[in-house]
Amino acid sequence: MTGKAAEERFQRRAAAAEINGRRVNEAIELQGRLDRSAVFVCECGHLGCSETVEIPVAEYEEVRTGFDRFFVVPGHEIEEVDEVVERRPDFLIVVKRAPEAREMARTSDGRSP
Amino acid sequence: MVNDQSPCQGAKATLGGFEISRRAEPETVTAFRHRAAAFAAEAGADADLVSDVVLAVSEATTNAVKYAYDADEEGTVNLSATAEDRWLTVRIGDHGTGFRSGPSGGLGLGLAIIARLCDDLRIVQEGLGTQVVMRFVLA
Repeated sequence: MTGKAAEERFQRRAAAAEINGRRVNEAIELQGRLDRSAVFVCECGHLGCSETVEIPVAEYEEVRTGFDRFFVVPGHEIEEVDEVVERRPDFLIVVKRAPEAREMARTSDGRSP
Repeated sequence: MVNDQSPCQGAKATLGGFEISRRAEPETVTAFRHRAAAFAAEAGADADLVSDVVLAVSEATTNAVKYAYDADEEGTVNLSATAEDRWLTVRIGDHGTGFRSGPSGGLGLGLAIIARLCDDLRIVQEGLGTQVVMRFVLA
């Protein structure tokens, strides 16, 4: 694979990682109960990340009040990409800065109209 | 092995695909890894992509073997794959009770790894069982 192709794969995977992470959490949330806790995965764009955080399902639901809001472990936000809009003890809520990233978040969000 | 339809014929971009069903037991993880690796390579995946596919299949199959069924319950895990239009699609399915939240976090860890390995991930929970659908772009 050429350097350009490898870079393209890297960029594609980073964007996909955030969306895939959110889909994993949706599946976890679907099986949980609002009054219970569940283990959710970090929705950051770092390819090496496999961090998980156990929080109440109801608290994760608070993250998902907007299509562009993502659940991220503290320190995993990417300054050029993410704007931190809320800081909780165990996680951050970030929104995407770039219009393209926001559009990807919108179109991939099964909850968006 | 209950069923193995493995034509795997035709052009690389449109491999016919295959489906395997096995008992939900640790040996199935190894069997699925090998089968998925062979198919990915045949479909034209390079070594890095084959490695990603193998790891993703390992994690998804391990989750199904460990968490889909109760300890005293027998069950099966399915692996299927197709290659079409530059997309390699791999599915791991079970007929278990869906994701169950537990204190270990093992399920979430495996899924976190899978989320980083594939270009598109879908988790389908309809009726009995779960299907993890992992799609990879063939370079």
